[in-house]
Amino acid sequence: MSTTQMDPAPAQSDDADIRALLRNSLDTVLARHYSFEQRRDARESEARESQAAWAAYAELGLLALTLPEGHGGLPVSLADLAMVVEAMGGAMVLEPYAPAMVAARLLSAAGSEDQQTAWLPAICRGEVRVILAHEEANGGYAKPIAASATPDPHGWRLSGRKSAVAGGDTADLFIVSANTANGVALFLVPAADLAIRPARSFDWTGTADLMLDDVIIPTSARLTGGEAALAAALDEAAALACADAVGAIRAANALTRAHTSTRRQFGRSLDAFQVLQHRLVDMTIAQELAAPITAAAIAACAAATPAERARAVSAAKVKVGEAARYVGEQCVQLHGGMGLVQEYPAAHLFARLSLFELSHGDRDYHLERYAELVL
Amino acid sequence: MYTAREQAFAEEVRAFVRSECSEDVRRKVFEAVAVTAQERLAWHKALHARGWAAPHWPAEHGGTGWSPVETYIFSETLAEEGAPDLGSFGLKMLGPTLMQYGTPEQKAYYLPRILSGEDIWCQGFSEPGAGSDLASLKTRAVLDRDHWVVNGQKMWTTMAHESNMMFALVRTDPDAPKPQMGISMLLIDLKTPGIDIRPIILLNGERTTNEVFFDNVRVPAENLVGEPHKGWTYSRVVLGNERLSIARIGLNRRQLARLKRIAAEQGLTTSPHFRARIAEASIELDALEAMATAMLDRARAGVAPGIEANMLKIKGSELQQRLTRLLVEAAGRSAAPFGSGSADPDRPWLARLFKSHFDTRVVSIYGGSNEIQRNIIAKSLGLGASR
Repeated sequence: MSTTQMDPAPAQSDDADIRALLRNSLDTVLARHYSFEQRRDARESEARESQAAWAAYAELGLLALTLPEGHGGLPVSLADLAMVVEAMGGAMVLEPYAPAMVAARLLSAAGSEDQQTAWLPAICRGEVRVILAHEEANGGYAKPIAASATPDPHGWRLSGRKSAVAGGDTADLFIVSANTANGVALFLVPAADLAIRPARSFDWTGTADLMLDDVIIPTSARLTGGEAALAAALDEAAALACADAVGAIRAANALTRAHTSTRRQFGRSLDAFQVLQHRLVDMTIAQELAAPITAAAIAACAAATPAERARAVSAAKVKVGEAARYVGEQCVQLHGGMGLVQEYPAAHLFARLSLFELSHGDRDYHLERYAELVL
Repeated sequence: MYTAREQAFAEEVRAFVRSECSEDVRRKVFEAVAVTAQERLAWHKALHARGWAAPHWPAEHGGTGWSPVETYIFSETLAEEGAPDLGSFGLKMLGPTLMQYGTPEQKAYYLPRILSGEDIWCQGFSEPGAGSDLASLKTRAVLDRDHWVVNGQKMWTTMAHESNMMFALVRTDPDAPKPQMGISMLLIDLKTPGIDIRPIILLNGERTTNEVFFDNVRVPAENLVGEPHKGWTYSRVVLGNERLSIARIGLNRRQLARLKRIAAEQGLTTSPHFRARIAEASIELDALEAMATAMLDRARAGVAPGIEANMLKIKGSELQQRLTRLLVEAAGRSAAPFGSGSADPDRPWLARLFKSHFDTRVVSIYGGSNEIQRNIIAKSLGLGASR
């Protein structure tokens, strides 16, 4: 894991103490549960993840970060949460930590007091996993959603389909976005009430398609907040995914540096060849550009107006996307054949970074959204 | 780019593929599904029956006697039509090497078996410590009366598990003044005791490559190709074959067609961004094809390809990578589910897009990495010569 982190916002000493404490316990839990061999065992297990690691996150309070204290949460900043996500990206954790935190934060921002009381304490304890299901196959990230919610004598009738929902395979509870006559609304739906097709992604994390075939849910399942809360959650999800990618980029650079300093060809180490030195320098520059712009996006999610937030998040998604592509590809290239095998981390980092590029809106979407805001 | 006669020939080849290569197998190739050894062999036999298994071979050895241009048209048309690749090791690498350097007995025995598909060859060159720096290889062969005794390890031995024979580079003179001068080429029957072939599993879960261990493997002395300690020279010939098709124009055309199909299905052909990227890739392919055509023109005039072949290797492999990346981008997050168990039953091809993307990362690594290709070009341009 990397020793450098994203630039923390200027903090009071209490905050700095909390952050250092968090950092320590996080390092301990990842060291204990996420060696590459442990990750292999976890990904090949029936659960396709480490249940021991998830229990450890809960025990350390990582699943309560930034959530309201009254419901069992720990009041730290979004930047602290991003620091945790970055470390998990570097360790390539299989559990949907960031997606679950985004959904829990959305529930605390958009849920009624009753809904929060009903779910948040169990979420903070790691007993309930909540996931936001928004993206759709043919809609993509950018286009209006097709899933619909229509009034029904018993509440609401949901229909449509959600596609490739990260963490959807292991969720207990979903927040589902759907169109109503009055715009997009959000609904709490237990996983048990839905037809779910689980799958593994090419980076071994879990995903699922949700089939909403005229699912009837009670009126009380609707969240108080709607479109604005959803937009904030989607931006947070993108910004936290950038943090995860920054962690993976750091890990890929560290791995490539280690390999090129020990692998010898033509009588010298690979990193003694100038062409490869320049490549490694460009990989490092990409990393150093990606980390601060991610920190800026996280800060904008915490404080800025929706437009400023959108601009900062789209900027980060584009720049971190470029870094992810370059570092991921060069990590494989500079490892040669070793970069492609299953029993070595390089290809796994490439896969994680590739999936990041495809998720939370692609490059075209974010370029377009950014252009709309600045032109 | 083709003359009328060449065009007619291309159509003849196209018609042959469409009638003789099963629809199923061609669809597999189009959709990047692995073709089985049996399916590949069936296609090999169909080509062999037509006399087209080794078009680049001279007629005296069962080749077609075609010109380099006809051979080029043939191989690019096959790729474009989704015919499975027969593999290069026997037909394109070892065959021509034996014709040039093999003993009369080796030619008489091995060449017909390569042609018919009876022997399937793999190449034992790379080792754990010898990749780009191939000449540093350590696998030893020591002559013991009428046998070479081989000890050591090969790595990245593609298709070894589906082959029965290997041509290998081994160190026969550890005291040679330069490492290149102590290497010989041996023909090794993979059923010989002491050989252990272990799979290397790639990220996508496929076994296409292997590690091969040699523990006192006894190889008959007559299986040495040419003269002892000349293996390095022979290997340069092996790696230099197939230069005309190095840009993989046909394969790139096929991937471009796949990209257009999927982009249309995803509604992306109206996106100005995505249209531009498809157009850029298509223009790159046009440029590569124009460059390959110029090389063909020189080949028609009897001029062998020079460093333009190395340039085409670099740019052709980069285009393959660009096209498969665009395939994944066209699908977006829908390409996340991976493997047959995860496939969307309505759109099973989605679960194979990342595989194509991942698989093409190797094309800038193998066959002399793109870094090595650039070194060769730099040297040929005389860069740094005034130092």
